[in-house]
Amino acid sequence: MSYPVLFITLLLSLLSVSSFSYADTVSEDPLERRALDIGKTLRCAVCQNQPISESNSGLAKDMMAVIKEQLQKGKSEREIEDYFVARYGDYVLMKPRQQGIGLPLWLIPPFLLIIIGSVAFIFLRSRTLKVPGRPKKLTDEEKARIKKEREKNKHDKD
Amino acid sequence: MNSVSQNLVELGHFIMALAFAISLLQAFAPMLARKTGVVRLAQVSVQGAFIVGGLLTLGGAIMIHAFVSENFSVLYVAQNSNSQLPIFYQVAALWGGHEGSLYLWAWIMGLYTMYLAWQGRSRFPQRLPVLLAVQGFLMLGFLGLILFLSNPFDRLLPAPVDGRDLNPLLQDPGMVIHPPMLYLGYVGFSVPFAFAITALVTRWDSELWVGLIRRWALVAWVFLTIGIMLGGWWAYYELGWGGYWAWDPVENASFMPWLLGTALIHSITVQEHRRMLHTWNIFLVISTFALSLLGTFLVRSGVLSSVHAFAVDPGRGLYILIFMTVVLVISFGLFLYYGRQHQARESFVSGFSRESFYIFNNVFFTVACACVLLATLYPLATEALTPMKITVGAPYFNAVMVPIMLLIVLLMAFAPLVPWRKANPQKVITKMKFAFAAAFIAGAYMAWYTSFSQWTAIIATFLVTLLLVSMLTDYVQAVLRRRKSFASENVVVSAQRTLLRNRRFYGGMIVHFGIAVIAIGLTGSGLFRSESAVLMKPGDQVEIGGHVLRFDGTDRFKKDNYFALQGILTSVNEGYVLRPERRKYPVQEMPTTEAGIHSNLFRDVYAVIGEKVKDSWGIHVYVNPLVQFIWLGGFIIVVGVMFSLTQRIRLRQSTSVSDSAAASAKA
Amino acid sequence: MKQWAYVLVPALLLLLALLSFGLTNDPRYIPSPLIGKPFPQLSGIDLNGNKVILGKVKDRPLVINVWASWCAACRTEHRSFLRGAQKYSRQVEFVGVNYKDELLNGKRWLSTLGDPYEWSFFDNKGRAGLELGVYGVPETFFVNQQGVIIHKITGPVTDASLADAIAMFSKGSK
Repeated sequence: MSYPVLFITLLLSLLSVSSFSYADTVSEDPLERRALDIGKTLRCAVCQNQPISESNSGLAKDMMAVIKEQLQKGKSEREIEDYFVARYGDYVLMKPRQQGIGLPLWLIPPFLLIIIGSVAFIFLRSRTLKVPGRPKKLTDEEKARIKKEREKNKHDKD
Repeated sequence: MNSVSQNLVELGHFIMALAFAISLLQAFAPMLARKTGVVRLAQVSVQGAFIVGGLLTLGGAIMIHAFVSENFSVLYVAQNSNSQLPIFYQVAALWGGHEGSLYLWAWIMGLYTMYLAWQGRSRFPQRLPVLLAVQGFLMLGFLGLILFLSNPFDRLLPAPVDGRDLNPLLQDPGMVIHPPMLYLGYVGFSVPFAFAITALVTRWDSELWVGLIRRWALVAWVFLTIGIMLGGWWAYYELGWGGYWAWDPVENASFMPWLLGTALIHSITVQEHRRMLHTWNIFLVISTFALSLLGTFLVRSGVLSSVHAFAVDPGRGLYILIFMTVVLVISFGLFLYYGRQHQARESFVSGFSRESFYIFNNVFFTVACACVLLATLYPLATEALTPMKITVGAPYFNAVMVPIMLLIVLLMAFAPLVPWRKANPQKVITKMKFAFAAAFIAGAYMAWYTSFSQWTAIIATFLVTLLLVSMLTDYVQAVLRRRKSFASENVVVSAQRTLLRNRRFYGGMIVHFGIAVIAIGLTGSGLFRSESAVLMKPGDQVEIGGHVLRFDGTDRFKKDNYFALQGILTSVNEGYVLRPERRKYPVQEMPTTEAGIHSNLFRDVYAVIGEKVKDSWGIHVYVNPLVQFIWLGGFIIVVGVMFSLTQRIRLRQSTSVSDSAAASAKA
Repeated sequence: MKQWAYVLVPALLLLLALLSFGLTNDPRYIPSPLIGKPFPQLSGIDLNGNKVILGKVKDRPLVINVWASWCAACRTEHRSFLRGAQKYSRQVEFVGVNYKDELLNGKRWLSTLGDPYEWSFFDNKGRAGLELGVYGVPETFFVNQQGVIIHKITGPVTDASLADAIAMFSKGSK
C-alpha cells in the first residue's frame, strides 16, 4: 500500500473512532441492576404499598443508596435484606419469610385447596345416584332357569 | 356566583334528604303491608324505587352543574376541581374523591333499582315489593352515609377563588371511566343479592328466577371485568413502573368479587341445566355482594395501607363496618335459617360430567378468592395478634395465584368437551387428541426456547395451547356435525349458524378465548420482560431486547394545568420516537410520570425518564412482549359476553319436570 | 344447614372482629425491632463540628430525639422537650439528631425555638436514621444505662408520654 493511502486511511479511522467517543452505547451497570432487583423486594416504609425501587420518596432513595454501598462492599442479597429487617422489621420485606410469622401464609393455600376440594368431592359423592352396578355375568344355572321360564311363557301365550 | 346556582346546591342537599326518607319507606313498606293487612301499601316500594332513582339523577345533575359552573362554594368541588381543569375532567371530578364517588355508587344503585322495578312489574309483580325493599334497605345504608358523614353538597363559605384541582393521577381518560365501570359491577351484584334474600324470606322457588339473575350477574361481572382491565391499563400507562397489577389491597378488593362472580355465573348454569346447587348458589350470591361491601369498607376506612385509599376517616369506617355487619348478619342469618327450603331437585349421575367440572371450577375460584382474602387481611391479623407487622406484597400473591390460575386453564381446556350427566373419559381424551398433540409441540418449543429454565412459561404454554386447540376442535366438530344435517349450506354459513344457534355456549367460548389471550399476554409480559436502567447523555444509545434507542435530549413546556419535562428517545432500528415525561401540576404540587410507549401487538417498548445526574439523565427502559394481548383479551371477553346475552331467555313459568327437561334439551 | 353454620358463624365473627380491630389501628405505624437491642454506636459530628459518638452512654440514660427544621410535627413536640429538659436533665441526657437537614437551618431552628438537647448529632444524609429504622420524623429513642433501647415513641411526644417513658428507666433497672 502506498504511504498517502495508508495515511488517509489512518486519518479516517481516527476520525470515526473520535466520533464514537461522543455518543456511547450505554449498558446497564450490573451493580445498578442488582440493586434494583433487591430494591423490588423491599417495601418503602413511608409509602403506601410500593417497593423502594419504584418510590420517589427520600427514604426510598436513601435505602437504594445503602443497597448500592453494601453491594460494593460485597454483601450478599440475604445480608442486605437482613440489614433492613434488623432495623425496620419484617414489614420491609415484600414477600413474607417462610419461617415464623409468615409460615401460615404459605401453608394455608394448599391446605385450603385440599379442604375445599375434599368437601366438594364428598358432596359430589353423596349426591350421586346410586346406580345399580353392572349385572354380573349369568351363571349356567341361571341361564338354564331363564330358558325354562321362557319356554313356559311361550306355551302360556298359545 | 349567582343565587340560582347557590339555591340549586341547597336543593341538591334537600333531594338527598328526601331520597333518604323515601328509601326508608321503600325498605319497610312490604313489612308494613303485612303487619297492617293493607296489601296495597307494598306498592310504595315500587313507586319509591322510581322516585329515588329520579331524585338521585336530579342530584347528580346538580352536582355536575356545580362542577361545570366552577362553583367553589361547594366544598367537594373546591377540593377536586380547578378553573384550569379541562371540562371533560371537571365532570369526571364528580367521582374524583370520596364523597362524590360514594354518590356515584348510590346513583348507579338507584338506576339499577329503577330498571329492576320496571322489569319486574310485568315479570314478577308479586315478589317485586320485597325485592325493592331489599334494595331500599341497602340504599338507606348508603344514603345515610352520604347524608350524615360524606355529603358532597356541603358548602365552603366564604368560597375560595379557585379549587385545589383534581388529583393529577386521575386526569387521564382511563382513570375517568374506571370508577363508573367498577361501580356498575359492584352495585350490579346487589340485584342477585336482592333476589336471594327475597327468595329466602318469601319461599320463592329459585327455579323461577335463577335464569334472570344469571343475566344480571353476567352484566355486573362484565362491568367489573372492564373496570379491572381499565385499572390495570391505566396503571401501566400512567404509573411508570412497567407493570399493571400490584396486588394492592384496593385492587384485591375488586378482584375478590370478580373471582366469586365468575364462580357464580358458572354455578348458575348448573342450576339452570340440572336443577342442582340451589343452596350453594344462594350462598355464592350473598357472598359475592358481601365482598362488594367489604371492598367498599377496605377502600374507605383507612384500615389497610394502599396507594388507592381515599382519605382516611375512621368515623366513616365505623359506619360502613356497622352497616356491613347488619347486612351480613341478616343475610347469612336468613340463609342459615331458611336455606333448607331451597333444595336440589336432581342428583349427580356421575363424578365425571359437565356438572362435576363446574364443581371443580367453583372449588378453584373459591380457593383463589379465599387466598386473596387471606393474604389481604393477614397483615392486619398479625398486627392484632402479635407485636409484629408484616407486608404481604406482589411476590407472595404471584407465587400462590399463578398455580391456581394454571389449574383453572387446565380445567377450561377440558370442561366444554365433557357432556352433561355422564361422560366417558376415554371419549373426552379422544376428542382432545389434537389439542394434546399441539400442546406438547408448543410446550416442547417453549422448553427449548428457554433452555428448560422457565417452567412456569413452559407449563403455561402447554396449557394455553391445549385450551385454544381444544376449543377450536370442538367448534370445528360442531360445524361438521351441523353440515351432516344441512349439507347444502355454504361452509361459511354453517360456521355462522353454528355460533348463532347457541349463543350462550359460544359466547362463553369467546370469553374463554379472551382469557386464553390474556394468559398469553400475562406470560409474555410477566416472564419475558427485558429491563434496563441506565444513565444517558444526549446522543447515547441503549440496547434492550433487540431494540436500540438513542437519547436525543429533553424538552420543557407548559400545557393546560401542568409543566412538563419530556425526554426524547428515538428508535434506531424502527424510527419511532418515545416521549416519556415528568409532569408537575402546580396547584397540587404533585409530580407525575408519563411513560413513553411504542406499542404493537407483539411488544411494547416502554421508557421512563428519571432524575438528572451531572450531565446524564436516568432512563429506565423496558420491553414488554405481548402485553397488548392483555387488553385485547379483555376486549374479546366483552364481545363474548355481549354475544351470549343476545340469546333470548326462556323464563320458567312452572317447575314441572317435563318443562325443565324440554328447556334443558334446548340449551 | 348445621354444617354451614359451623363454618359461617366463626368465619363471620373472625372477620368482623378483625375489621373492628383494624379501625383502631394505624396501618402506617411500624413497630421497631430494635427495642431490647443495644443502641448502635454511630460516629459522626455534632452541629458544632465536634467529633461525637451517638449512642454512647456516659453517666445517665439517653433520650435521643430525631428532629428536623422542615418537620411541622417536631415543632409541636418541641415545647415538651424544653420542659422535659428542665425537669429531667439530671436523670437523663437529652440528645438530638438533626435528620436530613441543612446545618444552618438546624442551628437556626434551635436558636429560635430553644435547645433542649445537650448536643445534636448532625445526620445530614439520613444514614444514622437508617441505622435506627427511622421512617418519619419525629421519633424518640429511650436508651438505658446499659445502652439498650427500652422504648421508642413514633410521632410527637407529649409531656405525659415523655414522663411515662422516662419513668421506665427506673422500673427497668430492677
